[in-house]
Amino acid sequence: MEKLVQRSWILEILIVLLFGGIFFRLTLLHLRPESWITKPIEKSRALEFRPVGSRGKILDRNGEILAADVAAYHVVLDPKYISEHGDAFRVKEVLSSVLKLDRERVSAALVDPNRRYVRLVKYVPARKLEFFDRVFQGVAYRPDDETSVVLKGVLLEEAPIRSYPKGSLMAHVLGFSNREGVGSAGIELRYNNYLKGKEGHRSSKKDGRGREVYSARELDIPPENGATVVLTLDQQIQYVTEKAIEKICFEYDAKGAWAIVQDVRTGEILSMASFPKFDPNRYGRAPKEWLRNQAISVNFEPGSTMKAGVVSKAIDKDLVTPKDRFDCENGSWAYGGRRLNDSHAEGILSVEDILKVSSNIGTAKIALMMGDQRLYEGLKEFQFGEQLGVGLPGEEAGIFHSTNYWSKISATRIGMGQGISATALQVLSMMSAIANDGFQMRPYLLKQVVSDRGEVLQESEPELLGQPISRSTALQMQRMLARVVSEEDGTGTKARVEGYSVGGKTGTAQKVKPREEGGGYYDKRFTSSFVGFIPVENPQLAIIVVADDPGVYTESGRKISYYGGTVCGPAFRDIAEFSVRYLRISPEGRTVYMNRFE
Amino acid sequence: MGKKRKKPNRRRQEVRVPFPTILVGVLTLSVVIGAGYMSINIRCSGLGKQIKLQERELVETQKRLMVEQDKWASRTAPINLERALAHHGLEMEMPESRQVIRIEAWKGSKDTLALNRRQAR
Repeated sequence: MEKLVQRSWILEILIVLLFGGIFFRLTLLHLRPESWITKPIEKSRALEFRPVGSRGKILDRNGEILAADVAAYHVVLDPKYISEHGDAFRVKEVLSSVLKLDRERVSAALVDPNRRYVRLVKYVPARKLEFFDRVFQGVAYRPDDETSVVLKGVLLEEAPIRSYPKGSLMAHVLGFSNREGVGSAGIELRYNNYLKGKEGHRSSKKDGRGREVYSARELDIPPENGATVVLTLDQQIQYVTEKAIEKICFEYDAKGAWAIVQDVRTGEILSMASFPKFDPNRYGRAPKEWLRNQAISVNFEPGSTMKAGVVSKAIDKDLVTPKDRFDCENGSWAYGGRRLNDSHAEGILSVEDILKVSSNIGTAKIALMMGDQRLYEGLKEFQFGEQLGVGLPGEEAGIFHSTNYWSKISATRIGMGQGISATALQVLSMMSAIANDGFQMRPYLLKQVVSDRGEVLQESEPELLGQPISRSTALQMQRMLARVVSEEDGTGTKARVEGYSVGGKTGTAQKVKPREEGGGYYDKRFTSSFVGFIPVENPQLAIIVVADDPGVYTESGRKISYYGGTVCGPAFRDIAEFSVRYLRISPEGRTVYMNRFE
Repeated sequence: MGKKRKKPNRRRQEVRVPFPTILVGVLTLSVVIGAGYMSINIRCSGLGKQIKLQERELVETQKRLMVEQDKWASRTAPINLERALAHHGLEMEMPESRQVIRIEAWKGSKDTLALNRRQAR
């Protein structure tokens, strides 16, 4: 009996030991498995995934989407599967009609039944494939509630793309990002570090079918989407600006044109346009020259628009007053062995009239009175020869040599905008300073950068560049520049805006002939411009319009319609007229609520 | 005098198998732990599947949202609005100066509005 009891105990202990052993082993395998067992298993089950955060959006000042990453797909065919299990006729029919392809092209993709992978079309935006659903081994096409066609062997491979939903609008400012999602021009390049998303990391295990086992997920760092860049541009003003410069090119046969609208009080750029334009969705198809943002990257001799800067500095230095008179030599004057001409013969003119009729001789005499050094320093204070730092790659600084390189006649030429090169942005900035009571604000395009979590990473504030002229000089200049537009014999009458007073200056400069062509200036090729502000009573907006080589030839071979006032004045008017109404700026320069009155 | 033989105790001679308390305890504990483990595992897998499903749904919804936003942005582009207006034969113009009522903040008080009907020039 005792033996039996003893045996039963032994049995119990053995069973307990056995279970205990199994339990211990299981626990050990579960908690601290041996590497030689687990390594190959883990290797085959490991799932490493690095999801990429999408690139940040670019918005205009009102939150309109200008650029964003959207889903897109490569349409891929499996000819072998289609020939064995699918319906080649339907595949051809549906894909050719939905993707607007030749049936022959689809047929050619299916011609070899042994192939397993043929990429039919790359980067098809998801909106074009909205009637397609992915199903097992194919796609289902459901154009309406009743129709459903399953296309076996047709696959959609994810390939997100950068979309610019406004097409060519603001293309030169936005730039573009390449297929790898790297900013390659404009804002896309300048703020690439903010815009690019951060890669995430997911480390997990997969089951026999290759699907992730969630409970085995060891590491999950989600990807971070890129930050949103908000610009100061306004799509409506931009559109009107682009239309106006496009019109110049068609009406006056200009090779190109560019324009900028700036808020004079803050320096914010409200629109910046350049023509010829391109569509950033298809940037590869545009000629290289078209990709250039001419508003900031073309140095041109500004011509008479520069007179506003020269005269303002002369008044500011108390060298002249608006009423001082100069002999304009009846339109022809020899100085330093070279002759200087005016387009209209004028006798004795006051400083304000010199500006109004844009007399080269009068301005040259004012510039001479200033002296080389004072003229150079005065224009330097307007930031000529310096980058303004608008926040775009490719911004030029202009060419403004120091007085060491000047000749005896340099001052007379620089006074009328020859022998100095500037960008449209620099000329506009000079006019903005005059309009802003002498305070020059830094022009800027970036309003703010906001992270995906809503945190403001960068914000632009109005920044004072300097005060090149005093307030009293600026006010005198504003009145003088208003006469250029408002008085019948002024050069800028075509820039008038009904109900508003406009101040501005025209410019028509001969283009510089390259050294290969002998140097000097072309006789009949000009850069025409108009730069001005509105309303004179309380300036709010400054606008510049520049046209490259405009003008039409008469039958007798004479070139007409190339003057800045003729070519760019109307474009200025169109832009200003829309902008003041759209921004609700009253003729007195106040922002008002406007409504239609019957 | 011979020894009196004791009558064998029948009850003591019965084979008594003691109840395996420890074994049962260990087995019950193992079953409870195992069942608990399985239950938690099944629940975790279920939740994991749900999370994965929702993650996928979230990604798909975000993609759809972006596509819709992109479409909307394209439709509200000024050039497309202009085309749409032309397509429907609608002509829209900015009001002329004489058609505009301007209401400006009165300098005397922040809350008072002054009405200023500008005459056509």
